[in-house]
Amino acid sequence: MLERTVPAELAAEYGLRFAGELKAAAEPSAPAPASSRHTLPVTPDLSGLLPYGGLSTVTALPAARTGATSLLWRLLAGPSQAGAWCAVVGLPGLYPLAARSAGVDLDRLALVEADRGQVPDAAGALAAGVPVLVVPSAGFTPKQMRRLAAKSHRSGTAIVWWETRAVDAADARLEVAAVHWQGLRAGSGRRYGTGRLTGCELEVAARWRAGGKHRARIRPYGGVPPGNVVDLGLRTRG
Amino acid sequence: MARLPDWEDEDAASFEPVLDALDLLTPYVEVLGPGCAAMPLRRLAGDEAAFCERLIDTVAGLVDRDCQTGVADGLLAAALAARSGRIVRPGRDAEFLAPFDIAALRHTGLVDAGTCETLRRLGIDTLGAFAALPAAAVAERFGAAARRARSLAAGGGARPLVPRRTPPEFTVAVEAEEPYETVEQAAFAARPLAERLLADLGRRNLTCTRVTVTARTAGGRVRERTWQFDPAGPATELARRVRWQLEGWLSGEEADALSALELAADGMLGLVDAGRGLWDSKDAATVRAEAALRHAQGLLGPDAVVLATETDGRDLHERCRLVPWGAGSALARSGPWPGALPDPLPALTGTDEPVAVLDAAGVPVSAPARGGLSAVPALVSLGDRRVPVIAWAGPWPVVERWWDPQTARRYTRLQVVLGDGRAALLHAEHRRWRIAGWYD
Repeated sequence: MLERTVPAELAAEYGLRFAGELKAAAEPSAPAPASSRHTLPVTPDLSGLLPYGGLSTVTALPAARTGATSLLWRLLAGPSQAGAWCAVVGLPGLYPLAARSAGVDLDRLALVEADRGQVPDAAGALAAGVPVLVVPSAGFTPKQMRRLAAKSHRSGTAIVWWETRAVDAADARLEVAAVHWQGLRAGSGRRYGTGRLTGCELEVAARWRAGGKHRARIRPYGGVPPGNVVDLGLRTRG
Repeated sequence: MARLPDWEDEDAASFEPVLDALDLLTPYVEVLGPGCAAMPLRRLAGDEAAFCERLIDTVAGLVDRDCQTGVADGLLAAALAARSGRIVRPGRDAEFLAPFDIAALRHTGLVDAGTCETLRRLGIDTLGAFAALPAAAVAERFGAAARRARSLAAGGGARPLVPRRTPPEFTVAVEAEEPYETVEQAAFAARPLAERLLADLGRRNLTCTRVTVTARTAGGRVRERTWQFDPAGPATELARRVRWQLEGWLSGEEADALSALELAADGMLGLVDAGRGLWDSKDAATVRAEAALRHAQGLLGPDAVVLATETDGRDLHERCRLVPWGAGSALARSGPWPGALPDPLPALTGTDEPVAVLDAAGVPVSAPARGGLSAVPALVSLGDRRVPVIAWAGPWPVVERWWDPQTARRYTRLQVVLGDGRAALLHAEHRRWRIAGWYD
């Protein structure tokens, strides 16, 4: 009598008699790239733009582009919601409540105020342990940049360069190509504007050091992409 | 209610072992006085008599003391019931209290012996007779305290019990012989204090995660602030934190010499747990991140690492409160604020430089007090550039605190998308436009 073990049960269930009848599991369509040691989750809309599908190693955001701050907040939304501390060093003038509307957990967002001369030291201290570190590149000499990159590599910190000056050693560069503000209407002879700013759509182009360009439309403040909205007014008229 | 009958001659501290014994039975114990404690019994939680018996046995077994118990709805009835070891049935408090002599009113702590004597001379010699008096008449003749005593005597006015707090044992304090005028003097005194506090904790295999620094100024003001503390940190780290705080207090606008300092530890933690890095409550990555933030705080000063929270208000600046990390949390937004801008909010605060909003003919647009705009905004002039307005919404006027001329504010908000692709939030206040924030 056949022993009723788990493999025997399974073989009976699938009607198998020989090991040769077993088929290999379907190969994943594209082999997932080997994950780096520390990859932090990001929101699904951004994961296609980043190598390894998450935030890791060195990422650069050109700061001069309109919409870059919204992209930064969106980038920090995933890690902060996963409970990882995000530190933003030496960027005065940010309004952090906007980060909350982009999905950032404000309890995990540390804003570090530092004079320009103190930024490299502060970044060095933070890179020893904070999982995500946002630093402006202008205050760094190339040597300090390399040192910070090495330090963050050791501790597994993801560096996000806020590119106030070009950085050449970025694994991915996310650039806002265009920004579309939504919810406002063109002014035409009205004294009262209608609507309000409800969100924006960023056209983001990503360039990886490993090669490859990726584009995506990001809505940092939520909102449904157009296409699946049926205008009832039009339909009844038509 | 548990009462130890012959306690009067002993001090409060020796009551502690009895309370510890009571803690085994119920976590909510309110100490009414030396030798007297109250605890709530849940309805239908079991036989009250059995609980009282267990209580008496526990106290007798652990601290070798006799005690009396009484059960009633209200504290006064329970206190009197404990004297005779009675259990008053639910809802029968008034009936139980009525025959007691008027002198029992003193157990409420609200009336003195003189008032009791006056009442007796007025012919009111039982609690029942006192409770039967009209409340307004009692208040008129004897004051508000006697009125509350009357409602207690009538079996009403029950209050929830206040559970006892463990005494603040881990507190070290120093009184200055001469008030500390400079940071150096104060820090010199604070340093041994920090060492003493950690040594006290260390002797009991404890460490702490929060330290409250309290200082009394020569002028009599008390200033206090709580800081997070690395449980694995040395005394020098604690001393440095205290020093920062003292620097803040002694160099500020309203600086005053300090006459006393106190450090109190909170958030106790066993040394073994602290060595394990709090991994049960926090994961290793969080512990490392917090150590790094603390390091940055050490480099840049205590107020350099801030967290943002949303608090009450409509203006961007009012809504966003930046709190130094580790210094406790700010007050959260207490509710919806009608008239505040909904999300998304500007990502950058404006530089507050004045701008001009112009109509198509180049005439400045104004925002009248009654709402609306004087003309359609077509251009915004930023410095020497004129940028066309592509789309706009608003104006949304805000009128705040009009009843107070000091803090009254009236402004108007306008959202614009500009020709260069940027979007801005504009405020018009005192007939001037400025950029309150950039959407970016």
